[in-house]
Amino acid sequence: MARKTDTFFSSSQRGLSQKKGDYLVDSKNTPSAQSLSNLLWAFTTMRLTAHAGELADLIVEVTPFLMRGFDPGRGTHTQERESGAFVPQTISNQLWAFAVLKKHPGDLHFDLCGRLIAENVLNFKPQELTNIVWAFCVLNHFPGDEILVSFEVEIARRAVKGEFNAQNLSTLILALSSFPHDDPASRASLSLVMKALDTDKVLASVERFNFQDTANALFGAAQMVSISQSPHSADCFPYETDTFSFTIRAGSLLFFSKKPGTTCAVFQTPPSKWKPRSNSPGG
Amino acid sequence: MVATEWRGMNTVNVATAWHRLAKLAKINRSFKNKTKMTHDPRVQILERLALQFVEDFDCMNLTNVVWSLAVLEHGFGGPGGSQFLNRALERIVEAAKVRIGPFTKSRRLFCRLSRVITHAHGPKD
Repeated sequence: MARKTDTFFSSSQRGLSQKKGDYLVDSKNTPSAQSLSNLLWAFTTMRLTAHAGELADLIVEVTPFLMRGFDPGRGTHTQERESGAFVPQTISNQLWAFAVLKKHPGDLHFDLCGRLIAENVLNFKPQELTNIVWAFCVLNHFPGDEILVSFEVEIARRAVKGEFNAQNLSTLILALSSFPHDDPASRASLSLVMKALDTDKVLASVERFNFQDTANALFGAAQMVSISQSPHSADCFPYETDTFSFTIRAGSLLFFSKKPGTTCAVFQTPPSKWKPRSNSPGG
Repeated sequence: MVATEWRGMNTVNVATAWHRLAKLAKINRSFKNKTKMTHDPRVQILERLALQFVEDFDCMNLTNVVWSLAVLEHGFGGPGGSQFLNRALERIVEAAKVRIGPFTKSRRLFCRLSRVITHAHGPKD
């Protein structure tokens, strides 16, 4: 997959961006990618929307050449983080803040980020991946079939391994189900996610869902089922596990628990409040 | 240490002190007691020093102080907080724009030219 950063700019611009990128990564007197992202996180967390908005505009401007210094392997140790390089956590926090601020950074910015994430999806932590998918969903930006497939395949793989906590899982189910799945490849990857939901480690997480998590997950699962019941449903399947099943009747979701003594729940509209936990950059 | 040595503290010491406080608060949640913090004379000294050094901090120090305030959920007592945060943001934006200025101009020109070319040679309805 070609990076847009390589094709969008002329050779002289690329040279310049490389030079400036180096400045932004190395110099202590210039805000690094990490600094900008941490500041945006801080202003957003403090609910200083005017400050955060101004910084967000700046970040949109500088991100194309911050990406030149993207280092997917960094960020595990504090010493490495202090280098200020553009790392998975930086990009995740940035998109999280944009979503909290309800500020769409523009298609170009989102597409650049989406491609970068898809190329390095293995390097993103579960919380980071959750925040990113949530941000795409909240800002109503469809990342495109190719990127969506890479997200979904990775999410399914990690869900089976039990890497997502309850809140991550419910957020991901709701967010993924909000994207169109018109392409056969994306419907296949959605099927992978649905299959992953029916594994032991995921069901163990479901046990820890609070009411909000349950509502989010159920609504998302219902959407997934409705996608699978669309004219393209041949490569998906109706959702039913050993412990519960979903049905859609007259626009409402009926959730049947197969556990003895429990009944069904009905959901008609999306849950109003849902947002993932802020991922503190760690300083 | 802040209470006794504050006269000798430089920008790095002040930023580090805020950062350590925030790190402690992350480990021990009871540490983040807003009322206690606001009235603690040592925190008030750090607030005053942060405001005093706002023009001298380097970008990393500024970021660390703002980050710490967010983690500690701490606004300075009085108008000092917004004064500090406003100036911190201004300085960061200025510093970043000095570096990216030439690049931004050429990028804008490139985008404008791209639009003109696309418009001139795009499909006609």
